[in-house]
Amino acid sequence: MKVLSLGKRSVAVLAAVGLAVGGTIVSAHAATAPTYIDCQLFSAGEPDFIDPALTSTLVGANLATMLFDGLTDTDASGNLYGEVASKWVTKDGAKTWAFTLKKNLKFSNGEAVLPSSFVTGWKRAFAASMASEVAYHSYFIAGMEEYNTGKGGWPSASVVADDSAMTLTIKMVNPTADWPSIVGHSVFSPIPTTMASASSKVEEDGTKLVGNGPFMLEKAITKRAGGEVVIVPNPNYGGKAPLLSRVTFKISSDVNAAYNAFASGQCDNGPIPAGRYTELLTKWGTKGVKTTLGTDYWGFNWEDPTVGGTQNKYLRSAISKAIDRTQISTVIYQGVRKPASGLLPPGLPGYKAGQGLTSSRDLNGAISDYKRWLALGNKTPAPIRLSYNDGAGWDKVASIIIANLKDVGIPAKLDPYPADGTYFSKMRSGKGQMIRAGWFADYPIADNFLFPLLHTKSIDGDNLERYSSVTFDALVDSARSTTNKSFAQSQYRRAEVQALRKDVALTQTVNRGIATVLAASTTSFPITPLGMIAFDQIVKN
Amino acid sequence: MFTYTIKRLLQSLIVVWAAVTLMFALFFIIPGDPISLKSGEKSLPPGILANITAKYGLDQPTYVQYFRFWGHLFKGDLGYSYKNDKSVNTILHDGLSTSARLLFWGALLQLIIALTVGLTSAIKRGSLGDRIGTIFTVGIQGIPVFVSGLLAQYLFGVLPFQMHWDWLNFFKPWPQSWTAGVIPTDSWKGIILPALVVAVVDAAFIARMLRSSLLEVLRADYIRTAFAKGLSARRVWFHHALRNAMIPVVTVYGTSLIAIFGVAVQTEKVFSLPGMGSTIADSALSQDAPVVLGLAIVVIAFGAVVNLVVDLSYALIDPRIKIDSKAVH
Amino acid sequence: MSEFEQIPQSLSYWQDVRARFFANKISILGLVMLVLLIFIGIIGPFISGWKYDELGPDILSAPFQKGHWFGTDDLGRDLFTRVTYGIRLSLTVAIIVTIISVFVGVTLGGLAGYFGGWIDTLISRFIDTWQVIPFVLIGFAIITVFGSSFWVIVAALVFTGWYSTTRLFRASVMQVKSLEYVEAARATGATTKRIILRHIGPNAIPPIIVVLAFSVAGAILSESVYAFLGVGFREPTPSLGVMISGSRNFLTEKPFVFFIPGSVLVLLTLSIVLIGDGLRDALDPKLRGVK
Repeated sequence: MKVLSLGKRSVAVLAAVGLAVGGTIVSAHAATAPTYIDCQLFSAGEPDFIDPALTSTLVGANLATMLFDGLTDTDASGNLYGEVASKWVTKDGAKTWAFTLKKNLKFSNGEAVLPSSFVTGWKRAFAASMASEVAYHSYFIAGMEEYNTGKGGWPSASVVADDSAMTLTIKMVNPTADWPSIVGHSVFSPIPTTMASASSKVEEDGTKLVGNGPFMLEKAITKRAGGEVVIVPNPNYGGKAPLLSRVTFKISSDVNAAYNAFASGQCDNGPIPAGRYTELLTKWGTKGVKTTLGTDYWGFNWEDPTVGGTQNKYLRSAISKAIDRTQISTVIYQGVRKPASGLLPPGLPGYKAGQGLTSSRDLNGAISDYKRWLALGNKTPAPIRLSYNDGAGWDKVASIIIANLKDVGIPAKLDPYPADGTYFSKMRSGKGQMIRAGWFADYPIADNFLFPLLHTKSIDGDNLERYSSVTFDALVDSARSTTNKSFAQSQYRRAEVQALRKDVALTQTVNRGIATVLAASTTSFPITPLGMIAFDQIVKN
Repeated sequence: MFTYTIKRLLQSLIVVWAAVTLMFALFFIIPGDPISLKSGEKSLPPGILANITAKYGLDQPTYVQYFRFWGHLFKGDLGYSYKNDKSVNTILHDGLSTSARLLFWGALLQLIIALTVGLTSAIKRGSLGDRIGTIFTVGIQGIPVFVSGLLAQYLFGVLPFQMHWDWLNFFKPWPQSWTAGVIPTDSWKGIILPALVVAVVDAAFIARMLRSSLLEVLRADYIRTAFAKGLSARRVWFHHALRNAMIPVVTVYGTSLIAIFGVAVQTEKVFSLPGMGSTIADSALSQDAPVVLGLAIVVIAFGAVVNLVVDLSYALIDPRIKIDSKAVH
Repeated sequence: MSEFEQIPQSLSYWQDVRARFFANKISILGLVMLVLLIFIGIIGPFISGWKYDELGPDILSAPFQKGHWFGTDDLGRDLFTRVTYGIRLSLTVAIIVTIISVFVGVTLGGLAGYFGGWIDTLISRFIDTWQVIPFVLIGFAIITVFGSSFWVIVAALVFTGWYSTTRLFRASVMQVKSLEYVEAARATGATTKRIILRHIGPNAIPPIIVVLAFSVAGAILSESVYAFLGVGFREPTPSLGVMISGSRNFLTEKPFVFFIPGSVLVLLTLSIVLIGDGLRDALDPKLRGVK
């Protein structure tokens, strides 16, 4: 999940999902359970979707996971566990996966959750007419890309549901050892038969979006700024019931308005305006803080004559060493995002510290690398452009980097792009020099970072650097196709070192985190490493 | 007059058409790729992009999209948001009802403030009240709406909450249920701050206008005569002076109505209200063209109607302009 | 020379105007404020010892201290330096926008007002068309396509401001045109050029001067609103709008970051509005004698 826009960043970090425990209003459902009021900040005032087949934002996905349970999920400690699935096996080296489902699970309308419920859900989610942005997660399944692009019918041989044996067997395109993690993505949610033909507009009527999660929608959705989404416990839920009788998400498009609403007693939880983490976390406590599986970085355009290619490696390493990650972490994020030492974030399976050139700053190293680059016959370059999408505070990060580079003698300047769409299409086509980027895990696997961000096959896609290395590609390819977990991890680590240390294709800055302010009555506020707040486990006094 | 009215009406329709076409060009054609909203945040495989393009009909040539847009418009269908598939008709309905309520209460407060300040300043010219009124009306013009909105939130929301002065806490959620369309039945405090912020900007302008207009009228012979006849000051003020002084004020008020949209945008953004203004601004920023266009049509039509009414009333007040216009056409 | 060819508003008129203006205490206050602000804007950057984009070690340090007279912002930049640059930028942008708007307004408004007929209809309907489009949308569209550089923002502000000057100048030309001495000049066979330059022009100037003042103030405010809505200047440009917008986060706890650029913006616009008020009262003889 690329987290790039203002909204997304705000969502992921400033605000994430606040939730809050409201006053003492007693709902009809559970007279003693508390209700929550969440001052939610959605990007630009409107969340995209909460329909699991369509949502592509963190907040939307968070709501979707409260309404729908998939085969697997990741808990707050980062462990993969079976949600609807009780166990899963592969007998042919990760080419085919067989999931066994728990019995007696139900949707909120009483319909049983069966293996065929997944088939119904996937047929809908991956249909070309749904035009889901996240449908490409299904391309791991044999024949699913053809189905999604209208070139083929439903690949019934690849997804076999046996309702009597409660098994779901899935055939992959290539061996996919990480499939059990991937299938935890909300786009793979099951749906009841009543939703089989539901269009992309189903969520406007809350009674039609029916799931099997711990919560269900109480009423039709008003997702716009100033509106509300209200969820209440699902009476037919087979798992542990939520501890709250109702959660109200109050949608705001302005971080200050949302915080002010929290601070004036309207909500039990709220977002933190940029630059105020220290102050507000001191004031309200740090229960709402969590490190998440994301990394911010700056890529170097591999095709640029000044910073790209193997011949300019020393300029890149000088820049990488010059950047003061501690300064960025403390000044901009006040410690909520911590200095990163590599591309893979801590907590991700396969993570190893110190994979990058430096985890803070190496000014002497930077100066000597820059001298080496100059000694190769290079002259002081024209100011290096630091490109970023405007409006999300990246200008401040870039300003710090420019000041850092000045200490080494490397000239640099800001290169803002007003709209996200323009920014990424320009960067993809090789118009940048230093390119601001960030990545937030879709599923907790190393491949979700290394393949889309740095593999040759991802050029024109999320490989904004247009980095291409035969060595790197070979390492990632070998890791992708093995079921030997420790071998895969060592290959991924070697690939990370190749890109970050040997080639310096990008330089990491900070790891992501979520920080949100909570009213004192909230005593437990679990957040998963994927940035999902477990609303069903929140404890409020 | 009848022919003139018809001609002006036709011209207004052309203006609306031209403005909407301009907006269509600005948001559908110039940014190049309207689905960059979808594809911007992460790269999407070509197949996914093709699905999205086809879903919103963006695979058609621009002129086809343009004619289809008008075709749907005449059927009352404004299309669907690129962002979340919500019907633009619904978004418009929600936005319009919020903005209308905000502007209704804003205008009401505005009238009260403008009349009080304007009359006080003019009647007690040079008094302390006049001076305070002048400072207020002049000073407020230097403060952007977004600044006064945030200040209001702090002074009447955050600060009272911190100090436990509950009686002063006017920063409350926007009311959810209404009687007769405009009277809130819950959380009535929620409208006070936004309405006040909307009110003060133009209230200052109108108060100043009223003051100078009144001062001008007071020098007129018929007012002197009225005083000389021994009519009570109250009677002269309200029956003669105010009535005549209001004519230019009302005309200016009409023109300033068009500008109120800019005030609404800032107020709704600062208070995070789901009105037309904040929705248009947010959608424009994310290039959600159907929403921008659908809502802009209403703003444009509103502006055209106000213009028409102002022009027609000019023609009624000053016959020379009517003759002039007749000579023109 | 016929008596009709006298410049209708004589030197004594302008002497009167000056006398009236300087008799108005509030306008003098505005003038003094503006001169002071401009003075600070000119010399500020030379005496502060900081650059506007220089990151210092002190984050959000309080104002009125040695080293940072107005304190520092969230990146440790010197607020005094940024504010003084902000005054320069605000005034520069506003004056350029106003000059272009007035130039466009005088040309189009003059044409429409003097010639009337289809020219007037065309220009008036064109104004109507622009006027009914929400100004933020024009700004959004222009800046999304062309980026937020200095001249693009100037263009966006002109696009949203030109029609009010045009409208006003058209109206005042029409009014002057119908005055007796102009009709008389026409009757004596004066050329169109002569009538425009010697008769209509000078008489239509007073409202233009007033509009000039309010247009400068309006452009300063519009620029800050654009910055607030995310379509104006961007960091690290030291625009007052950018500073206010960025400081909103600190309003409740570190209010000085907000109040310093905020009050400079308010004082700047206020001083210009006060001067504009004074000018209007001084230029409009109808209000002569009214206190």
